[in-house]
Amino acid sequence: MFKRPVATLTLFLFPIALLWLGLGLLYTSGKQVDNFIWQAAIFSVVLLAYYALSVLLGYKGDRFLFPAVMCLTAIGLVVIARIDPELAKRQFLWVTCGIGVAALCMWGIKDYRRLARYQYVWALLVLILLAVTLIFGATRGGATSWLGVGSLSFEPEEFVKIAMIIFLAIYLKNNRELLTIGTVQVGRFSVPEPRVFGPLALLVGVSLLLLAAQKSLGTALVFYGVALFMVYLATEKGSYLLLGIPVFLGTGFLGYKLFHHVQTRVEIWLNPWATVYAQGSQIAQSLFAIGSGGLFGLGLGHGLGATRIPASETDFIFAVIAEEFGFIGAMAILLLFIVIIYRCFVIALKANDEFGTLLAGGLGFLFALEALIIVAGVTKLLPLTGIPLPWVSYGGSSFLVHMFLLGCLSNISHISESYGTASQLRVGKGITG
Amino acid sequence: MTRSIKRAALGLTICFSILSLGLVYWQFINSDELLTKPGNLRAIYMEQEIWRGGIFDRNGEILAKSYTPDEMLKLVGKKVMPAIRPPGSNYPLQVRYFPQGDLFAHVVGEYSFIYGKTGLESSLNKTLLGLGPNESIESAADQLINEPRRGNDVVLTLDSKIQAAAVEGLAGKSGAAVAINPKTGEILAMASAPTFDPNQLDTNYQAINAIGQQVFVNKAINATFAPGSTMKLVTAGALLRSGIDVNQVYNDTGHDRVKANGESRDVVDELQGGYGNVDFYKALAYSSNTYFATRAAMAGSSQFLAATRRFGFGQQIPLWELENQNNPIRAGLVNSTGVPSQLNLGALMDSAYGQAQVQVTPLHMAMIGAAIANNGQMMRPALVEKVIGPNQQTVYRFQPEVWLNPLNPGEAQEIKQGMLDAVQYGTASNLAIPGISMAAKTGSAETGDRNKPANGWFVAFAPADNPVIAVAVLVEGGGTGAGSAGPIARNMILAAVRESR
Repeated sequence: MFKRPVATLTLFLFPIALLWLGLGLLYTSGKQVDNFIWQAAIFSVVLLAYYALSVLLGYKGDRFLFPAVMCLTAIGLVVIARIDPELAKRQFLWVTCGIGVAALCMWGIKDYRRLARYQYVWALLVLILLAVTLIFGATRGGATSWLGVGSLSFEPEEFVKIAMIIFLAIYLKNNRELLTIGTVQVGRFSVPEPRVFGPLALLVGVSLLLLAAQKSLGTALVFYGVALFMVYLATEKGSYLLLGIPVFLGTGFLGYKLFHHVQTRVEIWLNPWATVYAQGSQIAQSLFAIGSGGLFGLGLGHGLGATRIPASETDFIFAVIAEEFGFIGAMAILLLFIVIIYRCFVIALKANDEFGTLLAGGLGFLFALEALIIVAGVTKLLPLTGIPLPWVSYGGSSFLVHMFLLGCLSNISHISESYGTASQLRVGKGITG
Repeated sequence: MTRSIKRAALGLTICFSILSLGLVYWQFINSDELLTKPGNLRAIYMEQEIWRGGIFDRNGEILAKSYTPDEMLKLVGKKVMPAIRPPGSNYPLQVRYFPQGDLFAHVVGEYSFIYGKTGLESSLNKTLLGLGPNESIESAADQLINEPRRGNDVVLTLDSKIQAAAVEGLAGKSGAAVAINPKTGEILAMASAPTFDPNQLDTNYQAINAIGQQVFVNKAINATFAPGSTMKLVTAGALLRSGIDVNQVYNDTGHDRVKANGESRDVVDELQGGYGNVDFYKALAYSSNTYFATRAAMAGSSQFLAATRRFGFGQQIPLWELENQNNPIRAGLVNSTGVPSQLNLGALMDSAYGQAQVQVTPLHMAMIGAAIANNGQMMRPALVEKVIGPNQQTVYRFQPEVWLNPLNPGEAQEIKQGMLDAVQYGTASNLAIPGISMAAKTGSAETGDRNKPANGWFVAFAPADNPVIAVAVLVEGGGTGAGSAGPIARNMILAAVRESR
């Protein structure tokens, strides 16, 4: 049972209202919305069903996280419907499935701590998924990251995120002390012995190499950043972060020297205007769209970016929002992300055990990094590495995976509120494994 | 682990703040500049809400005009739609059409939804849209009206017949040609080769682009070249100002050497063995390098540099009609845009016959010829004759203005005589026009690449006693000026003289 069921219900009504309001705006701007009436009704019902299920099964966890994610989802649906109604039909289906996945994850696994049992199964899953993609994958948008199964195609690297973060959380929980203190003396520093550090470095290294081979630079950056952050989270040693930055810069420089497409990316970033009709077109059109948005935007359906920016429904959806909803709309998206990340960190702080803290903290950082990388990319603050904006961009793989992770977070929160937080447990029963 | 989570929260807050500052930058601080970038269709879409004015030549021939798709059907026999249609516009569609094809591709420019605007279509954009000096396209597009606003029509100083002679002459070649009315500064023709048909830009971009990037450059104003022997017109001005005796005879043996202040420099003529005894007029007529190089050395570098400044070297030509991205490049003696305070002996002697680092645009060469034709007065070059508003009212009418006074009338007369001699018995004698007295100076400029033929130049005006046209023609890799550029200049002059009769 939610602590305040009625107040929580109003939180759930926000995304529903956003969706219907958005469809209404689409209708007034002359777009065909008849097809979406049923879809939107199903979305509303499924969302309310999720709420009802939470009440019936006695959910005690965080009540802001899920509605905030659904607000992003609703905005995403409206914008995708504005860009391409055909894609929106499919996205509605993914969203419905995604809510189901979140519910399954939340109630199906019962206790997230069960995930911690099979450390090396997760590691193996990471490597297998990446290797299979590299061998059988199809190339789209320059990256070999798609796998076809029958008529469906999906992006395994999205699913790898689940396995990777769970593995990291288990591994760091088990080796936290050894990594923090260090047993080998090198000059003034004590460092962990290779036996402890080895599996981590090996898995992260191999994953990054596989991703680099697939040219999935954005995902590689996300993996590296999340792994680094989780090590820092576990050890509280800033030296790991300090060590990580030169390694990152060195790798980046090496990649720049070795790979032509990395050089092209950097050139486009430095001066997209020189190739405004060729390679620079995507980022230039994105900036044109953002620039014409102003404070309140041109209004839904009145921008040009939706049709002019290549991949406007996936990687560049933020630019379309910034044009049609203006600075206010773009800031709303960023604020929703801040709320989500904040709730993740709160869940991490309150978690029942270290595994929960590491997992929730890592997931919060994952969402933050994904949003930062793609928004900085479309606003030319950083070179563009195409990844979807979580929950907003079109795409089934990304949405389902992020809904699964949301389910995990809800579960961590629910367990800690049900059985007490780690600190309470320590006080009450001493340290639990 | 509490501490690291709190620190991460702080770090991420800073990162998201930077992101929002990025949004502020693009959406508020830099948004106007983004609107003017090439490839941004937003401004061009807003412009569709105003019926764009036409561009006409001095005789009323249509050079560029907007038509509805139905009018295009009558005009070209098929329905032409704009390449991209503005979404949700209630105004009639307009198609920009250039009936003269490739004749005015550079000076009038092109107008494309995809590739933007160039030439006068770009620089006179506000005039063609009828926008006031402080009115932006955004503010105009915001005024909701039932009838589309109408822009201004622009009548140019250009003459289609002279332009056609220039473009036909340059066909298959690479170069530029400019014709000016010496008395008023009105530009009668401005051509650059290779050229393209602006009507086909959207549909046939690959083929046009395959010609090379130079196809989009207006070489008449946006490229500079060594002037070769046509520079002797400027050097002649310097010599006359220094008080040289025009009748004093110099024995031209085809080779000479000047020694001064420990420096030593050789100069040779095109013709081995030289031209024998030459005075000022013969030196111009035969284009004697030795005469001008040695006399320039005697006159000194400050005298020579002062003359180049009087002729506008190192200064921005005030061709405001093509302002902004299309500013004419300044002529200069060092690094192509500047006039130094001094030249060493070698640079002075080489510059005297247009080599060394002298660089000049074809427009500027035409203005030098025109100044000699106009008793030493150089007029401000003009491209716009008048601007006519939507209610047929005249918004602007051209008034001739003097820009520079490089020569006094006596000096101009002496140089004109040398140029007449060049046509009568000198380097341009093959181009004499029966019944019309033409004054001319040929040039062939080495490009620095020994394997390529020299660039051919021809600067001329006619009729000598009452000039109606001054021209400068450049043919890249054309060899001699009289052989390559001369016939083109001759046809342009014939077209102008025929019309003036």
